Amino acid sequence: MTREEFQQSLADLRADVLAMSDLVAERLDRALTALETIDEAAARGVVGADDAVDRRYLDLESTCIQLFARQQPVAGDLRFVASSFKIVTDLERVGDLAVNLAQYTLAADRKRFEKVDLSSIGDLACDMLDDAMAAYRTDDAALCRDIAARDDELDALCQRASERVVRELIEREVDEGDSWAVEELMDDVSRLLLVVRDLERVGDHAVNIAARTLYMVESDPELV
Amino acid sequence: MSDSQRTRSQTETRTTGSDQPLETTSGETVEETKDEWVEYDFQGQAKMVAEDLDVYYGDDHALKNVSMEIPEKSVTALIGPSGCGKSTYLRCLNRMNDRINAARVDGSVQLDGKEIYQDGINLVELRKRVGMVFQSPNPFPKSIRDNISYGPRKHGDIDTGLLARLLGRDESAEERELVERSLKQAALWDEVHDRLDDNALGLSGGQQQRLCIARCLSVDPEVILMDEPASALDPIATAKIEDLISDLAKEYTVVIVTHNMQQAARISDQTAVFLTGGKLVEYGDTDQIFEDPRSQRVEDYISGKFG
Amino acid sequence: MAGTTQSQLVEGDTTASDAAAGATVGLSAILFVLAVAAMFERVSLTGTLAGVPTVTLLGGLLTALGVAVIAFGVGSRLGYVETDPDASAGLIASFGAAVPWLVIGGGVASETLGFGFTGGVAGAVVAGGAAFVATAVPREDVGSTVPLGALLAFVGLVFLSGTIGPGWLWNLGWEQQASITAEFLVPVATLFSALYGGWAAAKAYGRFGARGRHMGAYVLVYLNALSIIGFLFILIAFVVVQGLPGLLTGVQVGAGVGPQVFGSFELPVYVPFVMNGVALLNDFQGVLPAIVGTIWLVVGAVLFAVPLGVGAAIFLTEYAERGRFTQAVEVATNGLWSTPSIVFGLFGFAFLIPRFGNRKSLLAGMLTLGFMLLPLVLITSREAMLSVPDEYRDASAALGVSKWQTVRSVVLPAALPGVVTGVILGVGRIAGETAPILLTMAGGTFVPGAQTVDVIGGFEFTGSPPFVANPELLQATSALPYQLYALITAGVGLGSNVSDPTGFRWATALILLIVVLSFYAIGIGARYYFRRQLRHE
Repeated sequence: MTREEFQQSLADLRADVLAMSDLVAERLDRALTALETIDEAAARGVVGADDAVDRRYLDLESTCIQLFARQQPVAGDLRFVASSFKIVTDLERVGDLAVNLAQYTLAADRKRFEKVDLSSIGDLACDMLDDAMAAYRTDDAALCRDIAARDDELDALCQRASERVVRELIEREVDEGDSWAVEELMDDVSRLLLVVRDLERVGDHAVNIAARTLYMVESDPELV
Repeated sequence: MSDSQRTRSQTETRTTGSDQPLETTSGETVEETKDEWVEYDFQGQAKMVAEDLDVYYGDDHALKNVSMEIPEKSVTALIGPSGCGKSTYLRCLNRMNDRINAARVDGSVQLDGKEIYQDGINLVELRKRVGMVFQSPNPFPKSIRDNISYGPRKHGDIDTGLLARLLGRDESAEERELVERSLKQAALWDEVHDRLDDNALGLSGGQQQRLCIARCLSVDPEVILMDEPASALDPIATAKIEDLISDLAKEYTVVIVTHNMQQAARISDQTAVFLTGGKLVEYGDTDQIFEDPRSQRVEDYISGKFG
Repeated sequence: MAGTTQSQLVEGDTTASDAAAGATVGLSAILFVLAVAAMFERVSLTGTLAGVPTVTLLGGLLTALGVAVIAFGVGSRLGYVETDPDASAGLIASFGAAVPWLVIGGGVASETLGFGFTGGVAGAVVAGGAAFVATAVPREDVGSTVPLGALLAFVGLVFLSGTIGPGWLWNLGWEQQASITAEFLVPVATLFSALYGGWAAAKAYGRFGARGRHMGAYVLVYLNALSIIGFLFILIAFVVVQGLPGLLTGVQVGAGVGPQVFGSFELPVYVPFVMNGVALLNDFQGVLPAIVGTIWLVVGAVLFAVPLGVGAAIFLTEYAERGRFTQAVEVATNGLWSTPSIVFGLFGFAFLIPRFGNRKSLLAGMLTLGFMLLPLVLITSREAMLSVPDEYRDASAALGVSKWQTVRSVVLPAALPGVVTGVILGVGRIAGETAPILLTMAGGTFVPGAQTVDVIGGFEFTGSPPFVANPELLQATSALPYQLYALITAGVGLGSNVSDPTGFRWATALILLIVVLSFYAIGIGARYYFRRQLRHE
């Protein structure tokens, strides 16, 4: 086959994007576990490792630009490189969100709102991300559409969780005279709401990745 | 990438049309071309229509059953690997294949609805209306001015020379105008206006090719056929020719054969892809061909996997 | 691996040995010229040259050349001179060296040693074989110099020692009393020796190897080319020197001296040889009628042959399909071109003359020569048109221009230089042909001046078709080749007004040469003009 080096570059790009996604998924997982178990050491680890994710992002971005400039890909190859270019952006954002989650862990007192089930939201978001990258790896268009459908479910879960937090806030009895307690409560609430929002965003990024993958596979911009 | 593509065509997970693989005698699967890939809907008139065109060079079946419509006032690119019949097809449009003894043409080609492969067709008129520019620039060994006025003189459109002057029919003002107009249209006027009587062979390659385009324009054609016009030129000259083609397409119908896919992608409005064996495999908007071709073989060809 | 075989990329500076080798090549060139001069008797073999008897001088130079050549070979072999020789001199050099030794061996064995014919053959084989081996077996520097150098030295010594002197003779004993004289042998032997010597010396100059062989070939070819030019020059010079006195007899320069041309303009020069005919009352005789006759012949032949030839060429290249017919035409044309001129003359005599009043006429001469010119014009026009690239025809067709227009306006103009070349070559041939003129045209050896044909003035209208007649064309007249022939053979009847008949003949030959060269000049000028039109400025 002609253009072997070019074909190899494309294969390497795919592998590198998948490697970056593995890294990001692992960070996310660790951040969620840390949040669950209030493991401050693990949380610090996640924050400190963000540089690695950013470096990979810049590398992959420049690889894509180089491929455009030097190889002038067309048709399927063009869609692949263009999609990969956008997907690494989403992955980098997920990396940043994992760092956010870790920072909440360092600052939060989780025990106040045990009734809010963050783990199922977190699991769903992680699954969506994993599936999106699986669809990217295997060019699975059906899976992409599936992920888009699941986003509704995630949004619903997040909505309910937010409502639960607000309700708990309303029901909790706090001595209004104790300003320090009030402040602490407000911090906890807002932090929790942010966690929920960030998890929803992870889902959104997963949907973006799936959308780009669908365009890459079928030239269908429907989900974008 | 390639593995998954092969998987895709074999397991038919594509929802936009499925390829029916055929077994060839050697056992490889070859994709069958679908008629819908070759039918191209466009707005506007069709300037030239080919129907069921077959061309034989002796025993060699060079062009197989090609049907194609060429929209007017736009650029149509014909691409494909070497020997796939694109130049043969081009030459059918102005009956230049007639000049090859071993060539036999079956089928129909129509210009503005009139069949050109019929007895009694006026070849002179046909070739006036459908002009051609060749791969290697081929100006006559005459002056620049004479190169351009050659065609109109022979057709009787302008009359200069000793006899005309004697008879008082000297149209040298018209000739000067024609030469200036043609050279300006070909973006060559600025470079040669002060040396029109110099021999044309003294120009550079790019200038010679633009001179040939000017010469083609001097007889006021409607269709301009170009057979790899820039393949013998350096990149700057090529760029000038490409700009020129884009300009010309506003007034003329341009059909260009090129083996440079980036060039086809840059300048054409619609692209027809011929593959080995003289078959037209896909024909559509250039955007669509280069972003998402329907045929797997076309995708492989334009990605550079073969050819 | 790249760069493993090191050979000299940059040649060193010219060394003393290079200079010596160059001088040797020069010496061989001088010998070559001397040999040619001796052959043409510019240098007398019996006399002296630069104070030394000629044969002795030649012998000395040859010996010196031979020794120098051997010295180079040996010096190179022993490493005194830096050279680049191959392992062997090769087959060609070996054969080349074997041939002269074969001749010498045969001659010496059969004559000098008296062994007769069989002895001669044996001697030839032995000598030739030895030379072959001596050239092929050793390394190239020795092989290409020693046998040839020995040859030169041998011949030189033979001359030096007087074994073959100016009076030498060898009766071959054949029936025709053939013999080889010194006048023949010395220049020829010197010539070939000089060539061989030059070849070997040039190889030495090029330091053997590939470059040496290149220099050797170059010197040989150069010498040959020089000799061609030399022969031409000698020929022309010879004719000029012999003919000029006759041409210029009675020349007067001054106002009012010459005849009137173009009305009342009197030429200030009077050259009776070209301005008079032969007449009793002339003070000097001339060949004006013959000159005019030749010019008209050529003009008429060209007017006849060129349209026909070019037209046929156009038909054959542009219109006819390659097949039996075109092949037949090609064969016929080649046959026509190879036909001897006397056959054309006979054709004219038998076919044309009866149709033109049954007497010799200028018109018959013109047509006969035209037929001779026709095949050449056809062949060269065809070649010229075939060499016009097809792209021009394609471009013209793509513009919708008809085939004839294309031929007329693109192909023919581009082919014109070639056509003109053909006409030039043809004119050169026919202007000097004697036999056809003899049979179709010539009337009278010594034609009075008044009988110069006046073709232009001879046109007149007639009452019946073809409405235009020109009795001048139907007159027998003279032409230069015929004039010359008649002068040489007849030689009498010139009258007392010609003081020097031989001079008169030479002058006629000179005039013929001048006329032909003038036609050449016109043709070359025309071709140059057409070429300028086609080339870019």
